[in-house]
Amino acid sequence: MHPHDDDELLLNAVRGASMNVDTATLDTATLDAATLDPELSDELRAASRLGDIARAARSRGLTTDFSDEVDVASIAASVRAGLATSDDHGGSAQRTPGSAPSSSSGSGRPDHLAAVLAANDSASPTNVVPLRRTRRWVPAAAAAVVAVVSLGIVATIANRGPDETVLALTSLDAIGPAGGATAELVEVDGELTVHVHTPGLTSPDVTAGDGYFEVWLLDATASELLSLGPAVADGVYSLPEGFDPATLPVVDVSVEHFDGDPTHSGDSVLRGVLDI
Amino acid sequence: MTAAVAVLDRYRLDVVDPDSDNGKALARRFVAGDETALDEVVAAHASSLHGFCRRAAGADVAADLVQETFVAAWRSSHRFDPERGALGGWLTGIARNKVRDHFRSRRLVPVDAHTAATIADGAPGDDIVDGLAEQMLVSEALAQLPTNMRESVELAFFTGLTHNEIAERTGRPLGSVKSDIRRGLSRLRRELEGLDASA
Repeated sequence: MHPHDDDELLLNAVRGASMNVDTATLDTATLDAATLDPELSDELRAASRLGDIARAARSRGLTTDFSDEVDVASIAASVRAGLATSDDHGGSAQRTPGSAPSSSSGSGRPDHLAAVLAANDSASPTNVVPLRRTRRWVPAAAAAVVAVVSLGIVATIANRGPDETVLALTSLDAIGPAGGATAELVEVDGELTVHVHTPGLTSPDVTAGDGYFEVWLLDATASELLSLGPAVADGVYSLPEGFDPATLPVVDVSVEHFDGDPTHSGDSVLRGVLDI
Repeated sequence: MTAAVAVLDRYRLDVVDPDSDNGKALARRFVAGDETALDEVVAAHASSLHGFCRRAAGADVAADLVQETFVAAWRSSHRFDPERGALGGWLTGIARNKVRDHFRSRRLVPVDAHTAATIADGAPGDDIVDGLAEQMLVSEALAQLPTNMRESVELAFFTGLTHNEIAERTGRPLGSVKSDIRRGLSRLRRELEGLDASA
């Protein structure tokens, strides 16, 4: 055989140094060939790599029967399902403005809340953001993202006496497991009050006697606050004389502790926005 | 016709191998977004991809990794060039990437008992996964070769027989043996190029 026969070179390359090959002849021949034809040298290099891989596979027993018995139809179905249900990036664009998940379903899972936040950023005219540090209060642990779920305005206004005028109404949506609460801005004899109804609102700390609920009014950025005091049985809170409720339209209920610290704990359980 | 083309152009990559044309046609349809091609590709490659994923990452996650591989392949099919590598190799590369991600996300390093690899810094597990991917790909591609071609290529890989001795062993003409080895290696090389393209 002519030492520079391309087929011989190929056969030698496939076997590499691990086989019985005259490496001196191979190297010389390969170098000559590479100088003459770069495509040939690529082919020889690929052949050498393939040989090494094939022998490695054989030594670990990968010769036949390495393909598994699979249910092709069910794999195809799962692939189609995967292609159909995955979100586009920027999922908030797909949400219907104004749609709100049930307030009782707040499970606290971060991804759920993050998705809702994204939806509400586009839906709500007044974006309520997490409480931040201000000079007026210091949040207790990093409250992380406090999700605000929707701002529904209750459609029907309860029957009131002749001297009471409900000026604004909102459902307080749960941040956490509670639900079904409402807040109203009510004018009685020229005096403004906030009525907060929180049926079934509980908290482990409050139940255990380690804390209490406090009612606040916040601004839209949650950086200005006014405490309306600890929650009271009849849920009626007076506003300071001369105070313009439009400046702090967000009603917030938090869990506070008997720590002598008058500032907001950062642990809100209900929040809603009065449309003033 | 085939022999004449081979003699004239035997070391050129653009030799049209009629036996692999079907694979290219399917790959082109897949890239074009033909949904029937998706089903055919799943049917053609699910078994071997599952075999790889199971060996690499375990039986309990193999099905998920296979599904993720096909989903990712379909979504990124615009990145695959059927002229530059075989679809099977490209899919194996995606599966290899999914296996690597699987280990990374769980901060696990796969230990290959067979090769007794030692664990060091810098994700050595990737080498093990890469090696397995290459080996399964080549083994699968070898098994898919037409019988005569496969025999010649296997004897080339695993023995020290000369062309003449291979011709004697297989009972086939010397010219056919040489041509089978060239074309067989060319097909396997296309699979590897597909794999490398998905790195």
